[in-house]
Amino acid sequence: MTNLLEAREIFAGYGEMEILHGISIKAEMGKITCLIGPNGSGKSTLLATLFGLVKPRGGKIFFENQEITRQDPRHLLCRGMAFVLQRRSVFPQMTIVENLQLGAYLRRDAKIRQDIERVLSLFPALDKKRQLHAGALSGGEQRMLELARVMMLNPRLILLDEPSAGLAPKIVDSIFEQIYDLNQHGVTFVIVEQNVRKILNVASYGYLLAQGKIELEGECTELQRDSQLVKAYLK
Amino acid sequence: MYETILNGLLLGGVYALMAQGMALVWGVMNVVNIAHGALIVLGSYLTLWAFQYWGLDPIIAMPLSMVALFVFGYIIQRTLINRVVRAEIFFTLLVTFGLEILMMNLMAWGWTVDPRRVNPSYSFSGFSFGPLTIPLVRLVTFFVAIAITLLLFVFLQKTQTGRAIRATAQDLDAARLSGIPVVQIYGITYGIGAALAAAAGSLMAMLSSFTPYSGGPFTLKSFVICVLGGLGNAWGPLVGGLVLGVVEEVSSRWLGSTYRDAVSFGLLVLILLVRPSGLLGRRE
Repeated sequence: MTNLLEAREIFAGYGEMEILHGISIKAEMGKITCLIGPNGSGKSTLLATLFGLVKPRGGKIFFENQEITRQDPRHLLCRGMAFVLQRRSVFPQMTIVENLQLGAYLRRDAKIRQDIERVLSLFPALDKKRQLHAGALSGGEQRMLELARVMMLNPRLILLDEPSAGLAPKIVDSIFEQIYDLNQHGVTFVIVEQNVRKILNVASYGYLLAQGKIELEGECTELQRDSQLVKAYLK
Repeated sequence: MYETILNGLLLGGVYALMAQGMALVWGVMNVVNIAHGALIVLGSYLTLWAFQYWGLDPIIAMPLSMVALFVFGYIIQRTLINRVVRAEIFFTLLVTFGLEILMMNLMAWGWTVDPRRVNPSYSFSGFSFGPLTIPLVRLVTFFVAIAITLLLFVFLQKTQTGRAIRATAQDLDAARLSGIPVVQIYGITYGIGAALAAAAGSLMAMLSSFTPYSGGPFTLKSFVICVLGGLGNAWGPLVGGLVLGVVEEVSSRWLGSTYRDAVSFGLLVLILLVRPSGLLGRRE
């Protein structure tokens, strides 16, 4: 088992307030790791800290065994990490193709056009609407476009903050199918998710956070049987 | 009457260019740049200098003053404006207002407050088109202004830096997460805004006399055009500029030029009451 990402004893917060109190997690290469827990438990803060958006006050973060603590997002994008926000974050007045071109902003090679076609082939729903403005897409399609955009840099790891937020159940299914497909193409995911039932079916390893600490961790098949977790989230 | 409207359209083209820089900076950085008029006047003085000392035609001198003001604008943004980009609008107004006063006084110190104008050899030429007489200088400035406006549009639509500028305007966080160097893009945007102001200044220097204190009216006019055309649409300043040009010329003919500015601001109040998002702006 190879860890693509490892965070050791992370302390982080905003201003005076400390949100994360010594959290350690690992994301195995080629797998989907999930972070679950109640609102305010620090899941999104952890994700933002892993991606350099929040600077940790203590602890270390490693990506492919290289320390990346406090590196800024641009460096992490170049290294093969990407981050998708919880809220919709497409460029609404630009077409799908323009959004994808911007996803390749850090690239200087000549294969961007080919890669746009490759990425669109992974997202057939977007391919049909490639010249539409992103603002005209449905919530689910916008979520797919966000995923497609980060795929333009061929990331090895995608950090996803609540991919199902604000989407209808049927759309959520197709988003998770898309995540599963990308995972089958070799992309590793760390996903924060409120829809616990859904994410435990998709992910292979999970962490339950509460008040900025890891309360429980394990294989998702085990977590689905944990009485404490079942009582709080799955009943 | 046709001649008045035509003259208004020709002037409006230059007005549109004048407002493009302010609209770009406003739309991307949410900074209402009060110093915009002073940048226009600085562009006029640089053109005057090139005309007086090197004998350069204002149209030839224009790219030089655009480059100079791009560099100046980039440095100003990175050292000063960037500190207030995401601050409350009051601070951005205060800082850019201070910058305007500083620039005006430095220009008055350097060039005195005597009114100046650039008069190239074709200044007083014109030609007749049926019953209409068109001053050549107005026609030249109009086409140059429209050409620069179209170039800006192509730059924003077709280049990766242009797309990055639009992306930063549309969603700052998403731009950052796509690897766009937002701070650098802000600097480039302000630099382009200053370069556009310089271009407008070069053209305005041929159309009317100017002093270091002409910046205030230019800022106000640019502001009216931005609001009139509507922010968030690349064609907004063009439409706003053309409309203002025509309204000013027609009102000057009927009411006299004394009321020119009063009519402009009357139009501003009217558009704010009837269509606050501007003629082409997005409705909230």
